[in-house]
Amino acid sequence: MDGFSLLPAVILDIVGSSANIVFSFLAWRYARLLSRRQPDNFVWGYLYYVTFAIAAFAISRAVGHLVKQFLLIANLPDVWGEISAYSGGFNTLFMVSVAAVMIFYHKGVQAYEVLEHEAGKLKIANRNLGMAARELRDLNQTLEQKVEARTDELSRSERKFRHLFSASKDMVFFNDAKYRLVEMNASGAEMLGYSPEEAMNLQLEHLFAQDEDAGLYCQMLAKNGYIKDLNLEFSRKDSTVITVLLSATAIFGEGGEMLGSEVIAKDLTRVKIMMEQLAASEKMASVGQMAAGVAHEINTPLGIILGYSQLMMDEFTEGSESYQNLQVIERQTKASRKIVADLLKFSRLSGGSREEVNLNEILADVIAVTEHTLSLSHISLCFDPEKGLPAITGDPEKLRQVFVNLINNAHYAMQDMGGGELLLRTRLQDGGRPVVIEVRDTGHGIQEKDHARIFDPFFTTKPVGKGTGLGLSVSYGIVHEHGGLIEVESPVADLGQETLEGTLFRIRFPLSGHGRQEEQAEFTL
Amino acid sequence: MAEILVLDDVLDAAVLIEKILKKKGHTVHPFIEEDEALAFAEKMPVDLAILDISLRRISGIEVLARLKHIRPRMRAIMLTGYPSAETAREAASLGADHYCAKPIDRHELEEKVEEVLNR
Repeated sequence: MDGFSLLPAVILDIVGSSANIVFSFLAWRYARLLSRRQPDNFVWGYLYYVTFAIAAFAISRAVGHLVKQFLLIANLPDVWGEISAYSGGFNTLFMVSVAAVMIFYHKGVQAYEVLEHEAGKLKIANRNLGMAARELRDLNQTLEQKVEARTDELSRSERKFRHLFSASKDMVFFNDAKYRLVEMNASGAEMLGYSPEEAMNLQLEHLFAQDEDAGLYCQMLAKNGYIKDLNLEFSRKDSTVITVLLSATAIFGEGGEMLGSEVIAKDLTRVKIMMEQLAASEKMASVGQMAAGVAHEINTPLGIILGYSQLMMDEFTEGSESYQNLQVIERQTKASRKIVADLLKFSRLSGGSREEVNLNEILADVIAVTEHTLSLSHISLCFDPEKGLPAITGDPEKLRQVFVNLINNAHYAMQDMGGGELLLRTRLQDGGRPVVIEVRDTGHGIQEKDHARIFDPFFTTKPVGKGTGLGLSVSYGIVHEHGGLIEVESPVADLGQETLEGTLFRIRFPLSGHGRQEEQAEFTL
Repeated sequence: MAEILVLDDVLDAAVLIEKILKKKGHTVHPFIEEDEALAFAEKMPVDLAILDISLRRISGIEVLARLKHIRPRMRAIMLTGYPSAETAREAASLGADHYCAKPIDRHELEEKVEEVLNR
């Protein structure tokens, strides 16, 4: 063997063997890192053992070669000859172990595949389960949202109807099967003068001012299941009565049994009063027309009777029976003429003057005339004029007549009671008729039933012969002619909410130049 | 004494005035028709006319205007069962001396007539 020709092969063997060791260990290290990173991965685990076996084989094989080359270079072929058998044995042993690991790989892979397959099925099952769970969760969430939305809608609707109930200006309430009020809105309680708590404990039949209405209510509700626009009266806590328009609907249970009813009632008291006032003013207008017609027709024959009876008196000596008879005719005809004249004043058809009138002065004039007579009946008079009261346009003579009439009535109402107090007051208020005059007495007052009739011509509560029943009608006519309004209160509601015995007449006039024109046009016949 | 013309659509009323004023010594001519009264005034002198306002065909105010046209110096008293500010104003503007609401009292009538004639 020539050393010169074998040198490259020897170097290649030395370098290759060294590289063999280095690379095999690097591979082993990587396999180790991989198997650590993913300990569950079978392939990395397997690779770890394979690289380990290969590394072992590489050491055995490469170290064998290196030792061989160095021994040959050192010219010690005998030593190599002795140990080469051991090196070959180790090599075979490690080669067998690599082969064994390789064979094991096949079975291992099979086992791994089986495991993986099972794991895959499990995974799919898990995934399906997860999807099902998600679906279920979505469903749950939607259900929650739906419930929430529905609840929201319901509460909005509840709020809406609750507002309708509580904010209604009409009375709204519910009652149970035993006609006990279970809920009433604030307007209802207020209408009846109860606190909301008190209203809860009311029994329905106590609301009805007329006992028979309760029966009628139950009967109608049981028969038809509803009541529409029933006009009836409710009594308030303070026993006063209000007129209401009632509608009700029965509430039935599933079995058809009546659970109660829901009721709406509208307060018509004000409407009723307005209707009555309207009817009264229409009545006054038509009565006025008729009175005027009658008065004019009667005036002519009355004048002729008066004239002829006066002429005839010339034929008889004064004091004779016939003369006296004629005097009676004359007196009575004059009395009739006075009544006719009053009727004409009431119907606002007699002539009159128009000028700027200060009502404080008018009242002072009237007081001067009546004060003495009043004091004889122990009536004290108090006059409270508003300073700087503006003038109204009118006929001072007629206006004086109005206050004389009112004071006469007050006098009459108080004289039987042995005296009293007469309060005359002028005030300036806001509104279309700002000039207000009040005449208030502490007399026996006007009975409720007479309120509607006091301004009617010939209506009087005085005994026959004491009054013609024209005083207030004439006053009414004059006030209206001046564009004013006259109202009466009896008993008198005081500021402190209590009522006082007696009567208050309140007259309101428009300021100078307001309201008179239309009034006149309206009543011209 | 004076020549007095009375015009009223109710004869009894006209005659009553005639009787009352005759007693005072006046000459009274009662009429119920407007035309006859006007025709009379055309021919005969009239010192005073006592006129009802509501007549049969034309108003007493109209009669007053025509009488004043015929006899400008004639005095006039208006009588009416339907007094109103409007007719009162018209009567005054046409030269009526008095405007009285019916029914008029005997003594009131006598006084008013004396007063007007003595102006």
